Order: sequence, then structure tokens, then C-alpha cells
Amino acid sequence: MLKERLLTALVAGSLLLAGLIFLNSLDVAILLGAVTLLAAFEWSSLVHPGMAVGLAYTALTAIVGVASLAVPLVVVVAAALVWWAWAAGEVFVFRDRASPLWQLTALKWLVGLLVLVPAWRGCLALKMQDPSHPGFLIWLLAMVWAADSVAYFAGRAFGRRKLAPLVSPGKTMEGALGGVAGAAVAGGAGAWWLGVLPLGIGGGALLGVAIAMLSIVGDLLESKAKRSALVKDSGRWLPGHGGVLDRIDALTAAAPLFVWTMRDLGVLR
Amino acid sequence: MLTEIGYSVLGYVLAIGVLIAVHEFGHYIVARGLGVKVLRFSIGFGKPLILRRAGRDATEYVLAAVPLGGYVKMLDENEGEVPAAERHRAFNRQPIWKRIAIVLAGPGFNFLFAILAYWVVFMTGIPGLKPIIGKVAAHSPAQAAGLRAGDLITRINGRRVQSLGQDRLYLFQEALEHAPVRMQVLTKEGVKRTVTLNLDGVHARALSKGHLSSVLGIYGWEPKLIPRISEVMAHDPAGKAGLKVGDLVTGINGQPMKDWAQVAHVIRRHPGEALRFSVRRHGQKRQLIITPKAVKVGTRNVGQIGAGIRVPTLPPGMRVMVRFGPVTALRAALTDTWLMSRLTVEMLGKMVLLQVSPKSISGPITIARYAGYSVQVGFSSFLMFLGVISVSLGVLNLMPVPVLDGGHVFFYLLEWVKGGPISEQAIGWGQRVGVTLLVGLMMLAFYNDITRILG
Repeated sequence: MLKERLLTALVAGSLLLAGLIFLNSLDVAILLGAVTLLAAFEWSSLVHPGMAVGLAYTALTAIVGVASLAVPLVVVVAAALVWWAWAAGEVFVFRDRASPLWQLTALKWLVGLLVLVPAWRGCLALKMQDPSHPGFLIWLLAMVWAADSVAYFAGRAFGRRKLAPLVSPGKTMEGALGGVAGAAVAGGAGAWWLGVLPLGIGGGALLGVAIAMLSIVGDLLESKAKRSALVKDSGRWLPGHGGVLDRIDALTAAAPLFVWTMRDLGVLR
Repeated sequence: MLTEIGYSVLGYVLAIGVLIAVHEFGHYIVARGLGVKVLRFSIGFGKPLILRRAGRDATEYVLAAVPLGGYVKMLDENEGEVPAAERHRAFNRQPIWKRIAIVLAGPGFNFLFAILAYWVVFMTGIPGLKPIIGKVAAHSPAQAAGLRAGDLITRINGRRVQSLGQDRLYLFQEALEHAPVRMQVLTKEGVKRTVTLNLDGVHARALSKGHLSSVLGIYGWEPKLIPRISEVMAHDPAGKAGLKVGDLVTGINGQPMKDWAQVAHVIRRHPGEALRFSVRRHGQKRQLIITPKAVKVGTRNVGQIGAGIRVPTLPPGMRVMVRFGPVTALRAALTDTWLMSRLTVEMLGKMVLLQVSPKSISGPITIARYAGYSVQVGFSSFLMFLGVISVSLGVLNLMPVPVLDGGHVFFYLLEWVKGGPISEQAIGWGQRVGVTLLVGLMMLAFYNDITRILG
């Protein structure tokens, strides 16, 4: 299981990285768009089973995604941040209590769009900031991946206290702390490497901490959604990793804050 | 740096600890007084560090690990089984007015505490500048009345003046009423004189607190600020243009500069325009071109270069402690608490309407820094700081946002209007909207704090 998981991560990860660096912005938009649409299809199976419904929702996501390009980046990202503030409340404050959100199907559809579209739009903006050296996009991915992998290993090694026993029984407090530390290192390193002036290494590390915390929110929120739909994995696209949605859930939560911060720092317009 | 952080942590824990204790004590004492059984009184969230049981209800008094809030846990059927014999003491069984009273007592005690803090501060004294006239403008009402530089203002129309600022406030009030102003002064030579300021020629419309000096021709004494640079931000225009600590600014665009106030005025007036600074460095004259960056203040752009001077400490002869008697102090404390509450509500309203930048929201880190400063300055400044924070806590908690005290009251009032309990569903939605607002506010506050530190 672990070997399979590592191998898949390595292959898929390097392929993705190569694609993000060497493809032009339009191709990256399509590549990330494809991933997003796969995730949309999976989300739809959480809301309502059925192939036809799934395809219709995937098409809707594609339309909303393209339409989002006409909306200023700030607006898209701000909408996502409001949603993630709500989600943070769901997973940290209300924890295991069932959310009234899952009782209304229309809202579940809407949440899927809020999770997926702004993240896609944000990542695309990061790529377009400097298409030949998409350093900021890779920095974001590095922080999220560091949070995820260090959490995984720290959890295996030291994990004792459960983070959210009913929502996501596999996660531990110790793992989460490890993930935060890992993302802080990646954050500091990225800020140093990219020379993000007002941030510095310390500021980069702080950003990493925030990114890791949002990653956890994204992770737990998807678990909560799955639990309300009574499934374990959102899909079976990647061996050992569950579905696409399981892979990108952390990123969907982290991307809006990252993009917002980069805009504030003047990196993005 | 480390001592500063130490003071900040100390000040924060002390301030928040006191204010949470005050707030929760309000809930606790009123609940007990109205016959509700209190299970736990906790300062801080999370794991209990210290736990004591006391009283006939064996109430738990807890000091917990996370100093971001506190809570009073009462007997309640929504939160656990309640034996039939004790049901009449459960919170949820109380009539609406009792529940509202218990919930309002928290913020209420925050206001009471602020009033008390101000009262003590006003009685023990607040530092101020002596009301000495620094300059009298030519052809002004002040000159016509015979006032001279160096006169110490003692009374205005019979009211005792203790500090600069007070004189301005009193003069302003009298001028608004168009009353002739009888001013008692003590001259430099130690002679008591009474003069009458004639304000007939002054239009009420020309008056505002900021322009009072120029209208009347009285300028208070202020320390002279020599424009010798003591601080330069490396990434701001001054640093980039090569201005160094120790430089003495002697002129801008050929105009001689004697006072920092003059320099700051010119810089503020020229955002984005290149200015030619003449400076003296180690006895040598130099010219520097500095372009102030534009910073938005309100609706106007003002210039900033990112350099400052050290403000000299005041000579002891110019300082004064303003003290009031108990009754006057109480009145002043009430007025100030009221004004501050109103201001806080207005600010919140403007923020909701996006008229005020959300950047002005401060979080725990900024609060901790101010707490640190005020602890170092002294007891009365720390008390004053506590009063300010207490008022904001009180106001914030009264907002009709579910999960806050105001939100609870809102639901009780709804219950009263509807004539029956509100559905679980509706409360669940309300709570989530409330938590979203608070999480958003907290994220914003932390974000602002951190960007402020990074500068």
C-alpha cells in the first residue's frame, strides 16, 4: 500500500510538475481543468449517484469555470475565502455534528463549485504570473504536498490522539502538527528561493502554517462530505490514493488564501 | 526584541485574563442570583490547568490552557441529562427575561468594568501638557485681548483648565455658544490676569476643533522637533534615496526647514512628487532626491518617505498630571465609555458598509503589542488600555451574531415574538453563519496583524 502510494505520487507528481513548468498557460489551463472536471464528476457522485447527473454537473462546472475568467480574480477568491471560513467552522467548531448544509441538495451542488472553480482559477493566475517560471504555483504545491506527506509520516510514527474521530478516523493531532511544521519549512524555503521581499523566510514560514491549516480544513471537509454520502473514497482513479478529489482537497482550500496573499503582496494583479 | 515579546505576552495574558474573568463573572453572578445552577466557570478554553470545586452546587472553577476566551457552563437540558428534581434550575427552563438578563450580564460587566477603570484613571491622574501659550498670532482675537506667549491658562469662564487640549475643548464649547470668553492666565512673571476674548467676528462655521488655534490666534506650547533623522525604513523612499540615520534636514526644494513639523507637512503635501532634500551629514552638505510614496488616508493621498525623528522627552516643567474629584471623574468616565461604545458601533457599521478599510481590524497580536507598551508605561495607562478593550469586547459581544451573546438574545427575542421555541434547524443555520463571520473576522485580524509586523 505504502509502496504503491509512493510510486504513484512520484510518477503523477513529476509528470504534473513537468507539465506545469513546460506547457504554456493555455495547456496548463486545460490540464488543471481536466483534473478539476474529474473532481467535479466525483463530487457529483457524492451529491447524487448516476452517470447522467455526473456528466451534467461536470459540464456545468466547465461552464462556470470558463465564465469565472470574466470575473475579476479578487471576487472569485473572496467568494472562496468566505466559503472556507464557513468550512473551517464546520470542521473545527462543529466537528462531528452533522451540518444542515448537507440536507439541501442545491447547496451541495453550489459547494462543489465553490471548492473547485476558484482553486482552478487561482492556480491558473499563478501560472500566468510568469508562464516560463511558475515559481509561485510550485511554491503553493510544495507547501500543500509537504503538509500532506509530513502529516502522513508523522502520523504513522507518533500519531496517538485522534484529530476528528468520527469525520476522519485516520488523522491524528500529531500528524497534523507534523504537517504544519513541514509546510512551514516549505513556506520559508520557498520565500527565500523566490525572494518574496516583504515576506522573508519567517513570513514564508507563517504562510506555510496558514496553508497547512487550510489544507486540513479542505481535507476534513471532503471527509465530512463523503461521510454524509456514506462512501470512503471519492473515486478510484489513482492507485493507492483514492480519487482525484481526495488528492486535491487540501489544495482547493489552500489556493484561495495563497492567491489572496500574493495579490496583497503585489505579486499578482 | 525578546523583552518586548515578553512584555507583550505578559500584558496580553493579564489583559485578556482580567477581561474574560469580568465578562464571565457577569454571566455567573446573575445566573446564580436568578437561581440557575452553574456547573463550571472557566477562564480560558480547552484543558483545565487548575480546577477547584466549591459551594453547595460543587461548581467547578477552572483556569484553562487556551487564553482566547472563557465560558460559564450552566445546567441545561440541551447539553445533557438533567434529573427531574433539578429541572427548575436548568437554564433552558427559565423564562425569557431571565435568560436575557443572564446573557446580557456578560457584556454589561465589561461596560461596568470600563467605567470603573476610567473612573480610577481620572481620579489618579492622566499625564498631559501644561496649558502654556506658545505663540499668539498677530491681528488675532487673542492678541487684541492682550494674551502673550508664555502665559499659563488657568481658568476659562470659571472652569479650571489643567492641560492643553482641555483649554481647546472649553474654548470650542464657548465659541460655539458665542459667549464672550473670560480667560484667567498666569504670566511668566507670575502675575494673575483676566482677559476677555471677543469672538463676535468669528463665524461658527469657521470653527472646528482642528482650526480653533488659527481662528483665535492661540497656539499651545509644543516641544521643538529638530529634524534630525533617527529612523529610516530601508524599503521606503527615504532609505532607497540614501537618507541615513543622523542626517539633519535643512531644507526642501530650497526652502529652509527648522522644525520636523514643517518637514512632515511638506512631505505629506507632495505624494508622488520628487522633492530635493538638503541635508547635513557629518558637517557636509548633501542633496538627495526623495519621492514620497502616496498613502491613502481617508479619501486623500498623502506623502510618506519612511523616515522619522526621535521625539524628545518633555521637560518636567511642561508636564502635568490632570486629576479630577470623584464625582467629576465618574461623570467623565461615563461620558468616555458611552462615546467609545458609540464610536465602536459606528466603526463596525462603516466596516460592514465597506466605508472603512478592513485593514484597520486588529487581532490578538496587535492587542498584545499595545498591552506590552502600556504595561511598561505604568498602571494607569494599562488600566486605560483595559477600559478600551473591555468596551470593544462588550460591544462586539452584543452584535446579533449567533454564538455571541447578542445572537442568543436575538434568538430569545424571536422566541418571544413567535411564542414558542425556535427549531433546531434554524439555530444550526444561525450558528454556522455566526461562526463563519467570526472565523472570517479572526482570519482577517490575524492576517492584518501579521502583515503589519512584516511592515
